[in-house]
Amino acid sequence: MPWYDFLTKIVPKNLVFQLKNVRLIQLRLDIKGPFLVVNDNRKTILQINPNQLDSIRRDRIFSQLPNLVQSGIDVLSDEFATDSDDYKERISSSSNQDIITFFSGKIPDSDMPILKASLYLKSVLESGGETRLIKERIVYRFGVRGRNISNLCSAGYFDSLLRPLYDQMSSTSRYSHKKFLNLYEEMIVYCPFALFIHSHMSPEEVKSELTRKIVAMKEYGIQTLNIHGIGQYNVTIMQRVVDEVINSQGMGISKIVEKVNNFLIIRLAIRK
Amino acid sequence: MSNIRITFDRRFRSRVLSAFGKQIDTDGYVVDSKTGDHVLSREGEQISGNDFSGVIKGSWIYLKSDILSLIQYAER
Repeated sequence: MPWYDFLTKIVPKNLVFQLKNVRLIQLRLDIKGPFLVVNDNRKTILQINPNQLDSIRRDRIFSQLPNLVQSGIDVLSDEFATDSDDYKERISSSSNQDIITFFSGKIPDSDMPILKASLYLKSVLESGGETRLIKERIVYRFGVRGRNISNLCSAGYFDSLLRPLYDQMSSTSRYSHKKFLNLYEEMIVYCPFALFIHSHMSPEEVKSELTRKIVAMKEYGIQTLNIHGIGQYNVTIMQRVVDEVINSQGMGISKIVEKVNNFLIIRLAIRK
Repeated sequence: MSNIRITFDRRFRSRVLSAFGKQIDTDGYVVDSKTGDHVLSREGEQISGNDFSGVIKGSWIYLKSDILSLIQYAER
């Protein structure tokens, strides 16, 4: 084991006996001494502060990294390691795997990484975690399409709408996959039944977008429109703007408001 | 893939890169120290020093702190 041989030359003799159990080596700046062995979740971690070492041992640690990578050891930043472990754990839940398996082969292959990233974001959101950076990364990598898919996914529409839609369409004798894909594409690109308020939208933009969607509801016979907002800022804008727009549209629209902490859904329906 | 992993505080980025013959240039991108050529991610993209997230086996694959890189790494 190259890593073991290398470490026995670096650590003090009294720590050598623990090396065989080590599964994680952390190069850190926040430990006082040069070495600390920690047992965490039945895993032995060797923490090393290279800045606390003499220059020979410090240089040896870094100079060995290419050999260690070549032997199959991953060398990762703390954040990347934490994020990838978190992603693996969350994406492996049965509900997420169920959605991934269902939509694999049914939606464009290029959308699958977006769906997976979105399911990860949804999982973090549902557990009360901070999602702003994940959302930014999805939009940065996948653009507007990424934003739309992650919004639809977070709001549960892949399970509550797209999946039953596919099941219904595919059970008919006239089913063609192309028809499903066309409808899927419309939903992803235009989101005719939902409006997602995000923090970059001004009240004027929300008003304009909501008006556009309500006009589309009338034109295409869409009976309901759900408006989603997360975070105090978006919720405040929604509450301010929605009534103003409904009143200006001059048609019977009913409204149901659901508020849970900083999540707000306003469900609009055309009164028959 | 080994069952051991090494992680580093992001403040060691430059030292880690130096060990692989790389550095961060004046524009903030990871480059080869000898040739000055940009180091590319698996997707063929330049890697900024801030985004550099590690090295794994495979002719040394350089990782970015990017959602796609995260998914690809986690699923390998």
